[in-house]
Amino acid sequence: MRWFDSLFRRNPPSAQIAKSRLKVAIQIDRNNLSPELINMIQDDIVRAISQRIDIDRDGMKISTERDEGGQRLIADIPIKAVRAKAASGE
Amino acid sequence: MAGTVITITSGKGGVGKTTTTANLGVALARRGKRVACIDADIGLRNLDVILGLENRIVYDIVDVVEGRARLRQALIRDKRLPELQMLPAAQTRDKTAVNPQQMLKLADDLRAETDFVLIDSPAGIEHGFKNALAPAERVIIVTTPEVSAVRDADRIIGMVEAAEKPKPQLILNRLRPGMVKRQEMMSTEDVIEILAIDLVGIVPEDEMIITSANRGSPVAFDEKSQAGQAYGRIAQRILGQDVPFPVFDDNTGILKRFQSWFRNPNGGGGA
Repeated sequence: MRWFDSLFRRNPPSAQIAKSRLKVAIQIDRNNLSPELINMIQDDIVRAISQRIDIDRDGMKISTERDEGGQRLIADIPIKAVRAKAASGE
Repeated sequence: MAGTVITITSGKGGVGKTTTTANLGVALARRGKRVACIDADIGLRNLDVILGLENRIVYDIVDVVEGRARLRQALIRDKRLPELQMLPAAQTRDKTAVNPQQMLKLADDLRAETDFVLIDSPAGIEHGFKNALAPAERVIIVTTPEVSAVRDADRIIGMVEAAEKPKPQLILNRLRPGMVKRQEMMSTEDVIEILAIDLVGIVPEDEMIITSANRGSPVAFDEKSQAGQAYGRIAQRILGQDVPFPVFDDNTGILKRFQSWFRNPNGGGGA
């Protein structure tokens, strides 16, 4: 049924694809941080924080921003429960 | 009063820098402004052929910089439009033949006797671009609604910013309204959202650009074509007038195509 899908065009219009691809490409150009590298950083953060508290990995957002003061990495990490994991360890 | 130096640049090649420079030169000169266009693309000059002045070159920018010719000798005055002059690039040298200090001096000498100095920047982000940027008081970035051109435009915006120049303005070139309507081309709004700079003009894709380049007579000489009118509006905006941005017709419909054939049966002559 692929011909049928293509007839009614289920996939997004190419202008939309262009725009979203561009946004990512430009972000990488500006920051020198690829999505691949951000993913690795995200894994590192999850590993570090999860030792202490439960976090919602899927709801986590890592982004970069550039302002007058330079470049910054912003992590928005929803907490599931502060169950003082650390206590058991120490 | 000394003139304003405007550098026209893009990063990516082939998006229409030279065509834009030539047409803005013509459109401003037709409005009574004294304009000097500099071709800063040393080694790959083309502003001369687009303006139809290639047969009149005696001296070039490198001759002036190296003292073999005076500026006035190297400038070519357009006989169709005496307000318009052009300083050709050298064809047998490369971009390192001129440095940014020399460009500053050159632009300074030119602005003393004109209202506008338009610098046609070469593609790329290296020596030639830096030469073209050095004397700029205003920067116009030309892009087309394509991923590669917009991405390069963003890089250039960053470099203009780093050079502590005023925020550049954007000309969106070769827009195809039919494709935008079908959502197969990024719209003006899409491009502005990504680049976050002010728009100074939209030039729709127009076959007249090619036929006028064939003839060496920029479309802005005859503001009947869609592109010619677009350059006229950009000139007015550069002069500080508040000109609304029109919504372009979709020219790809069969009926529209018929109409356009009748409107210019042989592409229009123009003396």
